[in-house]
Amino acid sequence: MELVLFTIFAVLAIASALVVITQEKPIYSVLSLVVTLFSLAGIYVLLNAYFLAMIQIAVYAGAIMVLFLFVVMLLNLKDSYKIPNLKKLLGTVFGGAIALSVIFSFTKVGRALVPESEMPAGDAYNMGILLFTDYVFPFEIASILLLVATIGAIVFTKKQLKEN
Amino acid sequence: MIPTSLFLFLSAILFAIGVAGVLIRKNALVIFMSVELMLNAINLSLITFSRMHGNLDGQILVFFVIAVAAAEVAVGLALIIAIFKKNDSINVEELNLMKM
Repeated sequence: MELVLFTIFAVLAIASALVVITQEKPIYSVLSLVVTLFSLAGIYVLLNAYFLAMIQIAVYAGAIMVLFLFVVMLLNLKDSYKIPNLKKLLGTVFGGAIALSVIFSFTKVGRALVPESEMPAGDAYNMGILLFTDYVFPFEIASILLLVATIGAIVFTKKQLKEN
Repeated sequence: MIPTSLFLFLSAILFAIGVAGVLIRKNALVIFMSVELMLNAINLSLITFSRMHGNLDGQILVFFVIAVAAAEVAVGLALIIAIFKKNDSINVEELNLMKM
């Protein structure tokens, strides 16, 4: 049963990832990237990372992809771009070479996954305890980083307005 | 029980698709999306290794990767909008200010 679910999610993720890079119009790329992120969330559940699966759907497939969608609609790009055959060939060769070399090094990983009972579940309770005890300092730094990014985004777009 | 290597293979394939996307596309938005794809591939292998070792530290790292990715997307998209306002295009081959 687990293997069937894994196969479905994996095939869905790889197929929609291929659509992301081959699609001529950016809007279709955004929408198929949402499908990839959703199927990755399904795989996270298979790995007992329940909290991260939820975050993946809410933050990645929700917030970040809506931001991308807004920008695609805001920019109103007219030119749809056909990928030249030479570039397709080079992309396939380089991508394939990287995939094969990483897969070859991953075949050396001999250890099996631990059974579900021997590991704390990755739910909000256990993750929260870790976040607010061992990892409280990085957690606070992350909040400052998000604040800086927000201010940076505002400054970038505002400066341009003044010059016009 | 699913073997560990299957998850890692999926992660490697997604990462390679992301690299190929960065190499073959000219649209800055699609390149940015390919980078997101690579980040997600890395997240998958981190979660797999976390399950392999039976503790949650890897998942905490993924949490921070997602937080940093959110910040990166906010700044990156603001940059893309600023470039579009200046050049009327987000084709990366037309961005040759530093070459001249």
